[in-house]
Amino acid sequence: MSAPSRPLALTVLLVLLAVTALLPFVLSNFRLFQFTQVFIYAIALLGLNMLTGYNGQISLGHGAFYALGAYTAAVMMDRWNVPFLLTVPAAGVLCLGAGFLFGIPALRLEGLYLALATFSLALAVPQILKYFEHWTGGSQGLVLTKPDAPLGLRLTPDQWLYFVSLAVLVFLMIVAWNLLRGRTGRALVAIRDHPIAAEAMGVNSALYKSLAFGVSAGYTGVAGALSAGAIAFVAPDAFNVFLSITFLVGIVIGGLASISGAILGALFIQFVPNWAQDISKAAPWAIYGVFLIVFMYTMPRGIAGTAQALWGRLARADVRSSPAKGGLL
Amino acid sequence: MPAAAVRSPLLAVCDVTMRFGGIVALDRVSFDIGEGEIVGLIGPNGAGKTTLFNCVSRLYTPNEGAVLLAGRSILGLGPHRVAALGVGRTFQNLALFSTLTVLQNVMVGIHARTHSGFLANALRLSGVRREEREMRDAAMELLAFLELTAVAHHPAAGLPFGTLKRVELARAMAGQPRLLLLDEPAGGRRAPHEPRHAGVRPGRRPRLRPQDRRGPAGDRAEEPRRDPRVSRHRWVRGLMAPLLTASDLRARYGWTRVLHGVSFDVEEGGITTILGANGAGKTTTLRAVSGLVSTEGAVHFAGRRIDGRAPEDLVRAGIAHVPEGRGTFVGLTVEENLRLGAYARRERTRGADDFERVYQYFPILRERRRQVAGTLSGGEQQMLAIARGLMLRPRLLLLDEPSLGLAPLVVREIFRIVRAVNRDQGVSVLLVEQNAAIALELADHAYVLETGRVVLAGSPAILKQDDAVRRSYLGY
Amino acid sequence: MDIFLQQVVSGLATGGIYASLALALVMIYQATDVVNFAQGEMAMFSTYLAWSMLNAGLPYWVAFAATLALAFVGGLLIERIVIRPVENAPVLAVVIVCIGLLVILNSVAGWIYSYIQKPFPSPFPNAPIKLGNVVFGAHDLGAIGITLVVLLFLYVFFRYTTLGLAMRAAAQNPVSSRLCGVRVGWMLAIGWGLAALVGAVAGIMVAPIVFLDPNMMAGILIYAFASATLGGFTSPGGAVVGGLLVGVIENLVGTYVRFIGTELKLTVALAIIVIVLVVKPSGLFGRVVVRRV
Repeated sequence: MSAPSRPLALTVLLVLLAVTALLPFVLSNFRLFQFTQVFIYAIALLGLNMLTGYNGQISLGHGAFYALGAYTAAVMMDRWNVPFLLTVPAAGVLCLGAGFLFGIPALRLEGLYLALATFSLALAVPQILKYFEHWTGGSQGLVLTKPDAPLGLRLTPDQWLYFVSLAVLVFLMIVAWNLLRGRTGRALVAIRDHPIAAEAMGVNSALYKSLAFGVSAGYTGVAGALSAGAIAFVAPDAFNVFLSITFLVGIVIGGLASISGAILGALFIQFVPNWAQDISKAAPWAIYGVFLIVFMYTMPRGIAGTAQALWGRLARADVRSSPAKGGLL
Repeated sequence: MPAAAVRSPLLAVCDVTMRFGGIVALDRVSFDIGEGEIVGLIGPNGAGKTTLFNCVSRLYTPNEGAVLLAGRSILGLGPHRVAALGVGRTFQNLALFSTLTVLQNVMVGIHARTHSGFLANALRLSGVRREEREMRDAAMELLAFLELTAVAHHPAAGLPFGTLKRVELARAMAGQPRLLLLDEPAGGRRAPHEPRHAGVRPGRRPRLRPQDRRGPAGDRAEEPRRDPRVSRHRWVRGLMAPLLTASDLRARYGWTRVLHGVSFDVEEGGITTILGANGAGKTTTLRAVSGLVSTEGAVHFAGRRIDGRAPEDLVRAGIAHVPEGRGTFVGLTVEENLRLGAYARRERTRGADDFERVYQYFPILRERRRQVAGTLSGGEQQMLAIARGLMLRPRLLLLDEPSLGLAPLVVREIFRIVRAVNRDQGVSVLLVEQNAAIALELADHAYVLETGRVVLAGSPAILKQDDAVRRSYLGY
Repeated sequence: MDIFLQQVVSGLATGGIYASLALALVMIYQATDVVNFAQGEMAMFSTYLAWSMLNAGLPYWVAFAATLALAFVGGLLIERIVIRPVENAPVLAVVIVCIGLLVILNSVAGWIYSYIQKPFPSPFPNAPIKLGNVVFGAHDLGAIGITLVVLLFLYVFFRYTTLGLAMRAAAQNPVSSRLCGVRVGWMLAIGWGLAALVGAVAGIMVAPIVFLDPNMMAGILIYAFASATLGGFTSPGGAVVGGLLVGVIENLVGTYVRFIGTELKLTVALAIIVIVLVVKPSGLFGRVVVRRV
């Protein structure tokens, strides 16, 4: 981004943040919950986008890490009465470790094969959750109490969860931005763009790919933990394959390799199914499917990608008006 | 023995052998490079230069042999470890990170010399910021040195080929390598003597650079043969309308312009050749004729305008294109490949006859007809590709570098067959070649292409006398 | 031993169905590098068409043939109309379009036919067939037979016809194929048509076992993925062997390994896949693509 647009972008960001901070005091509880869910999805999508968008590793199994995060939080709260706020980082760390470990065998796989291996992971999750009934409550799941706001803050639990999710999202966005604009981010994109050249430039792609998997899973785990708190209930069938597919839909529609794309994608996967329901009660998913297809026809690079291309075209029009130097051979 | 000689060389390649399927790319190659030396590695296209580089930078693992860097074997190390030991390289066909900017590309080149960790990066600690600043400054300095400052913030995708070559060089130099492997740094440029290149010297570092030159001197020291046919064809020229006329072809790949107005004719029944260095636009020219790339300008074939038509249709009009790198169906048998060659023929008589006719020219293919094409040797695959083209019974045969990667004897054999086909079957041929010596021997008419423009045209006899052609393409 | 044999045969029967669908997936993947997530729903929809025709009173085999023909045309049209616009889009965009197709087909089927399970007739007699001490379901044997016929048909088609050869060529090297005059776009469309046809066979064969409902293929598609992965996504023959293996393994593991039972059957099958992938990333029969620099 060019220098003059920076203050502008910052202003827009601040205004957006101010508006989101005010929303809880004007919206109904149900709407508020929906927006909390958007933030939570955005965190998961941000994680998946780092892996799939920036690093080029396609995962169809991030629902598994979401489930792992959710159940970590749920079991900690349910069994050991750990405060909700502590369970979130715990879930993140656990998933980071799990993701890193999963990333090691995943190194041997590429493209489709990786997608299918992760897909099997997502598939197996509900069954596994049901199997370890003692911990997970089996297919009944675990019913939790919605965490209250700490004393002194006069917020309803829904408002409190909204702010917690928002704060976590903002924090994780900053971390992602830091990671992606520096040495690490360049290495990740280099591996995606040209794995062979990246290795030849001294990038340890095995390490970076596993790390990307770990961080990505960690983000998704944090999102899962937050969702356990927000919904106050976890059950195996909420974490079926369709959740993983929805995440993939989210990042592709939002825009691969884009931080803002995560939020746009989250808005899409949260609200568009509802709209589809409003349009047709009989076959809402058919409408949703049509939405997906039309989106991909018109914006194959997602919302953020299309916006970027438009922006780029404007910028290039600027460059074109000044004749290119002859020094390019 | 003096002490210096005892020290191990910077790079020692010992008996390295590399095979791909039925093709032996490297056959017990050995050589040394000392610290501070500049070594040129020369050989025709496909001689194995790039494969050798890939073995040294550990992208390939040789089947046999050893590679020692400063006396230490590097065959057990991953490519990134080799890079960290100070081996930098460029790639023949450009291997840039297309979505990263030029500056970021060069900064990835510094990756191995920097050490900030994941966590520090995530929190962007002050050390990270300093390191990032230093990397940026170093990269910008390099870009300024290579006159790339203007494009520093432009994504690599879409820049002109020559610029990208320099970006790659900058990226390789950014790592401050002890050994710099330059793969065809002059590829696609104005022939071998490139003034700007001389200025680029990263201190006294040894470099190993493959350059396209003809094969061993013995192969090219032959007497130019006088072929009586040549004069006959030149006489015919001008009386008949040409079979193919291309006028003012312009083409681009993405943002890169490759052809800047190329015009030429192909005479019916003759052999026309287009010469030029790597990246001069020869392949694109052929692809423009056969409809694989869209172009501005006009192409007429047998009196009809054909530009803008799909290759599938042009095949049916009688144009057979034998593409660069042969384009054989490696998973299909020889016979199936040939059957596909006749796929577009209208008449349903594509039977034993055609196979017989083709096998006459290429008896080896008859022996191997049940074999999967991927197991053939390079020369046999080239023969198969040409044979597949002939199965169409084409009026015009487009040949893209049939000499690529083949031993001189095999090249000679293939060219002999091409001439025989041309003479017996009356098939007109448009041949694109880097191997100027042999192409000029064969052709009736020749064009020289440089950076997407025709710079010379005429009969081979005249072109051979031209100083520039001799210096740049014939090597004497 | 008898139980073992019985389990193997019924494993082969379901395995044959997995194999068909896996083969359909592999055919499309080879030609286009696209994993068709909608393959199962296409099969499901075809099966509903067959059900409608049977309900209208058509004889079984007439309905069967008509369904295959419709499936072929449907697959062809889907490629030309739905997939073609994203031909040159990033792979993930194509995946999303397939997912869109999946939810549309599923939803429309539910809308037209409701989500209530329906019985679906088998063309084979109800009476079990006894061989020695072992009792086989007639439908199991019939399904194996039909699957074999379909596979044989495809083998002959790809091996010995010019069109089949052109399709193989188009999948392998589109540019060279165009230079041979092969119309690659149409080859892809025919590939989709054939894949839909094979899927329809799988749907019709599995419907008597699992009953007909819009979600009936979801589980089967997953096993088909597993089969294709096991066999190697680049090998049609591998997909078939992979399908049969998955069917048999699933059955045997469910029968003989106590703590797994039926609850973790799927998990075990998937674990096998992941292990195979990690040990041999290209699958049992897949080929490794050497990337040249």
